[in-house]
Amino acid sequence: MKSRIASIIGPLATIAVAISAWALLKVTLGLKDYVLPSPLGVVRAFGDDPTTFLSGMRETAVSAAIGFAIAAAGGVLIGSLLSLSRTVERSVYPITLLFQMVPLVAIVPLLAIWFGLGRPAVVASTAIVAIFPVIANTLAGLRARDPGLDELFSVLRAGRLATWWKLALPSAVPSIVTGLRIAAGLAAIGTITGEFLAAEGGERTPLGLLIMTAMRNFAADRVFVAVILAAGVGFALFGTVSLASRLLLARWMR
Amino acid sequence: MCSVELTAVTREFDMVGILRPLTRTLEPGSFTALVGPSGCGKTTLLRLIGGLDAPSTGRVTRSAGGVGFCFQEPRLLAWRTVVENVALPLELAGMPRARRLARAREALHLVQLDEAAARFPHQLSGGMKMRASLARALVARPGLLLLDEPFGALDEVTRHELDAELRALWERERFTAVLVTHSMPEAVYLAERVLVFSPRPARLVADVETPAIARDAAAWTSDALGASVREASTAMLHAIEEARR
Repeated sequence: MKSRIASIIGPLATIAVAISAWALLKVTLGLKDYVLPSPLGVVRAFGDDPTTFLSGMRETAVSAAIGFAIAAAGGVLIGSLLSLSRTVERSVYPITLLFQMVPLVAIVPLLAIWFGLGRPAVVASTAIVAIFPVIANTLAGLRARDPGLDELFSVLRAGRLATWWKLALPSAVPSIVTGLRIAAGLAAIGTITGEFLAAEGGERTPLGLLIMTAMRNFAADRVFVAVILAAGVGFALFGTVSLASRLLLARWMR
Repeated sequence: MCSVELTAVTREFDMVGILRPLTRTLEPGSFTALVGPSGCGKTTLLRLIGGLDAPSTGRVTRSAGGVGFCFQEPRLLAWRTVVENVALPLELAGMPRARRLARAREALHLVQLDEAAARFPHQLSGGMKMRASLARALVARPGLLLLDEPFGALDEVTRHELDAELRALWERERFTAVLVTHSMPEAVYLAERVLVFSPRPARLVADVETPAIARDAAAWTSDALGASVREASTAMLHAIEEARR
């Protein structure tokens, strides 16, 4: 219990110190509001226009969640297919590395051309950046299992599908979960990046586009609000996945 | 119960002989041990007997009845409870859940592991894991139970305990059992008959009926048992030594 309190108080104290340093920096250097707004100014910017920010946050969160879900399902599927044969793995796996190697900002314009401005392009951007760790960890998890268990299943005359479903996949779960947690951390990055270039404005403008608009208007306070809310989306997604994985992993924990 | 007939069975891997021609019959309900130096091909023979491997030449004929296999390690699935692990063979055979879990509980009862049914493997001791593994091998009520050094990795005390239980189990259920071991005392203690093999390629050098006193519960602690076990062990060791020359 004591350590739990410490684990909450510690980060809170760090945040408090950071905010104080921020306020102090602004006052001592005499920075203008359009360069560095005060902490209070950021709160005020949010308070002036809460509906825009909250609806933007909801838009971003929905895109991030959908993109993550596609990356999770697609990653496990692709990883599983790759594990079926060494030849397929050797031919296809390097290609999946492309997802990892090409900077996302370079791909998003293509996505905008293919999907048009709006949610599909943003979701695609999210899925592309989040899928690689899922593929890699699924593949690693499916490969690294005790050969003795394979022998057990062959002795019991289990079919290929039954072996995959009852042995390979469950053995890979801890590794897959690690991949999903990494993917959850990356998903929000993919969403915001996608929204920079491929989001649709209007009534339900997402956070990424709010950041771009605010930047063009030198509204640093509004950029801060959107960045903080975007971080909130990332944390929420990561936290949800971590919590879910902890519940799921109860059976695998030693 | 299940009988196994081996007719001039041999096995090679990549032109290397593992098993010299072997002709033997394992009677229904018998308990046979295969002993010999490690790496001599005992496990290969066990797999041939169980139909997990095909002989290079010769014929293996098994009468009807399923085969249960117990490995040296427990090989339990870490994400399943003990009872779900034990039910696995029935599950893979397509038996409905309620029925297979009931059968698995019966098998756990046989190995005196009732209270551990809902636990996970990592919550069990080494001996309990091996019991669960034995229950899994028995759950489909096989006519033939194959044991590949099942208790070899356990400490001495637990091993004796499980040996005694395995024998009691066999006396009650009377499945046909084949045990691979490199421990002479264990072979003599458990089996009615011991097939002794030479170093690789495995050649049968002795086919020994073990002294009945070794299977007499009343004599377990007597000097006579110790002497007879020692005598049989020594005879088998000599046979292997002879074969080496």
